[in-house]
Amino acid sequence: MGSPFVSGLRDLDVNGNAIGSAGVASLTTSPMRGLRTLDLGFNELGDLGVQTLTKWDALRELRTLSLAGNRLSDASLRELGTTALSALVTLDLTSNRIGDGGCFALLQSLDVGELRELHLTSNFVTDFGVRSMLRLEQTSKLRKLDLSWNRVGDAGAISLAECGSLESLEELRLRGNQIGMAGARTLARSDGFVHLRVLDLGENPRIPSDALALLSERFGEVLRA
Amino acid sequence: MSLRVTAQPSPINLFERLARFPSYFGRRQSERQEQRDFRPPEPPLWGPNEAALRNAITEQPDAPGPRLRYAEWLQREGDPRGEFIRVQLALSELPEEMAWSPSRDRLLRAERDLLDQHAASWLNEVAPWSPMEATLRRGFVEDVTLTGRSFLSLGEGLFRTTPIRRVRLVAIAPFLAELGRCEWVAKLRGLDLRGNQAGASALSEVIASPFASSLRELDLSTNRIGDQGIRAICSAKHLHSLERLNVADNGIPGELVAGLLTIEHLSKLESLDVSGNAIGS
Repeated sequence: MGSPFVSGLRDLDVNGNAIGSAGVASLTTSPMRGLRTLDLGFNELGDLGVQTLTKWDALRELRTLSLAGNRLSDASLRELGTTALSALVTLDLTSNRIGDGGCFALLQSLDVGELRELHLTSNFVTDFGVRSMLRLEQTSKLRKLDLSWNRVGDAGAISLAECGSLESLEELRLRGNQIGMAGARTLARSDGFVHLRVLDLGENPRIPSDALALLSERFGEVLRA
Repeated sequence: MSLRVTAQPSPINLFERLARFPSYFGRRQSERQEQRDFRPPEPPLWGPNEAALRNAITEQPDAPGPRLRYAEWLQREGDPRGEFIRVQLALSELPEEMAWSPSRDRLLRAERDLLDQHAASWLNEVAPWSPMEATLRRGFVEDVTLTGRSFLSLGEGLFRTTPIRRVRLVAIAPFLAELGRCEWVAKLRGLDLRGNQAGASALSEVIASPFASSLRELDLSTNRIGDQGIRAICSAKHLHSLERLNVADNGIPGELVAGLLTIEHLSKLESLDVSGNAIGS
């Protein structure tokens, strides 16, 4: 490692390599400049690994980061929130153990100002998390928000529908949640979502068929259910 | 009735009969000869103007100039392909900052509309090589997926038909030595050998091939290359043009991956995929 050669690598994919916190420590010693995409998905980082990772200089210019499937809890998101990720556009946190506090802590931080795509599929986000996220200015800049397979119910769906600031949103995925009639009806009545191209409400068994009809009338091809 | 039954030939009788009528064999042999007289597929018959324009494109496959000249000619002829070439060229040249811009959306919509109407006929140019997959980039089929055998035996005409940039080869494992000697590899930008389970010693012929020196993209994922294969790449100084390397799913140990990042001749490497190895364990 001690060579003076600095790699100009832009995209590095080390997905699925059983990398633990020790492995991350050795990764962060590699001299790298200008890394833009880093896929660390499906390793064994845990919160400790993320703590080590966030000290790495090479993250500064990163635009896409995947930390999917790494057993991360809210602590990791707090850590990410205080890291200079000022160029980050896409963050994939699929299949972790992230709850409401973590989402809020991440989006509240001013260091992720460029974030446009947030993937939180298969985590533990509830209505409270959705509502607190929507209070933040950062959320209104998102183009893609994936909250599939979380614990979002009617209250979360209603606050999404009534939040006037989601004008940039192009993809909203809420597949596999607990949205019911009230949430579905409010979504169908919302007059926001001007740029929405995908609204995924599949696998929400509590949405009754008449509410689904209203939704498909309102959203047409945009709706996936 | 009983006469007919006895007249039916037993299997032995059938052979005797066939032996007595050599003309029967003769005809089948000539049929086989007709099949053997196979002509490798050639580029379509173009008029002299078009042929010259197309030749310029296949001779300088990376340059936009010849493509634009052909697009202009096609547009004068009223062919929608001219517009398609311009649209795809414009998309390929869009700077990254415009990834979300309305002008990109407009181009994408135009591209989709043209593809919906004409993709089948434009892809048809490469149909004689029966590719498993073909991708139109910058107006032409640039990427194809072929069996190793058809690339090695019929590839020549393909390079004269369309500006091939990337080839994915399936079932290439038995022909890797031949691929190592194949000079068409020098015309390619990307060589994709993923999923062939070829093993390090067979692939070393390709890695060591002098024609691989102009490759900018190399995909060796799922090929059981292991540490031997990585060492071969690390010592292949002629692979200095590589920008993208995929060695995912190859059982490579971690210390060698770290080594890849410090190899001087791989200094142009922009993208490295080492997923699904055993770096951490």
